[in-house]
Amino acid sequence: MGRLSELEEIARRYDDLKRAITSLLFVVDGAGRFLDVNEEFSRRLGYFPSELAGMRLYEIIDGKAEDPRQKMMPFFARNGGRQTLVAKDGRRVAVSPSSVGRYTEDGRFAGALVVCRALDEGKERVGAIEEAAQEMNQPLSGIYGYSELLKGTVGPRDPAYRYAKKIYEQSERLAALVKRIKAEQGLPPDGLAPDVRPPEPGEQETDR
Amino acid sequence: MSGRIRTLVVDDEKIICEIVRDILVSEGGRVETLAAQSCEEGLRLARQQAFDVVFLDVRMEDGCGVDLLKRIREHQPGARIYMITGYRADKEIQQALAEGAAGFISKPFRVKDILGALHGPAPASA
Repeated sequence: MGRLSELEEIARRYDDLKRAITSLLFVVDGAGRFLDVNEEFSRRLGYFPSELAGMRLYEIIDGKAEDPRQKMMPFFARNGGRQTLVAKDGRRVAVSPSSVGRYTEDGRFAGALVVCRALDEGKERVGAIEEAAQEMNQPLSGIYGYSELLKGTVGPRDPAYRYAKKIYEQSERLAALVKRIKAEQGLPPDGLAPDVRPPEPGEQETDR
Repeated sequence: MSGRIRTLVVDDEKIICEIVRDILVSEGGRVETLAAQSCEEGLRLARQQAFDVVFLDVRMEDGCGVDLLKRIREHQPGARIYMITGYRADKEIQQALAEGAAGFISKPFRVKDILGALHGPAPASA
């Protein structure tokens, strides 16, 4: 394979990586200037690649260190621990960086490809799934309720009774799926607890 | 419980208000039901008239059901209030029970869940 082919292959693999990776990815030069970022970087932090031209990594790092090199150092480590980036709108995004560095022949730092896993990513996804499961429970309550009411309104010989029964059975399947989704997320199953609080003395229901 | 039963449903989901009201109406003319789709409207109704049973959504767009529970109880200490929730693990559920809620109903609920609440608390679970 010639040198040109090798470079083309490296470029192709880099493009594949950029597209496939769900973490924030960026490339900086030896001074920490942005050379390239992936779409996830732009989506999470709100910076378009064109806006980052001329900007340096330390400008978007949240931290007390005043020396730019010291501030950027964790991002150039193989495992940079927990760090915080500042999005364009001021949001703090916690990330775990890891990088592959490039060095000159005489050993000077020449730049790095950095991959940052967003630490709240899993939490956000669990939250979104929980929200979706919760939303499914709203129409399900309506479907359950109305199919039951319909069954109670018409007699068992009425075709509508059979239809209502079918709707109820299918909504039970959906409810089971919602429970499964919640269980997968580590959420407790649903159920009715009409009164889990012990009654207090003299608290008996009275007729009004 | 004899005579008319006055109930209030507060949930920002229209379908929940409708189905709870229709389930209660299915019990016959003995049950009177009003529905509110916001905390503000629910509180306004609770200030204007007395209710025997109240169904309250735990989380609404314009506020927290637990706060509304406290405010309704100020006006109507005798009302039996049930929280409706899609999240059984809600911290709000524990708060609501501590604030005097009679119990909670998980979505999706069945007709018997609503009617069970209407006709009084079940024996306390162990």
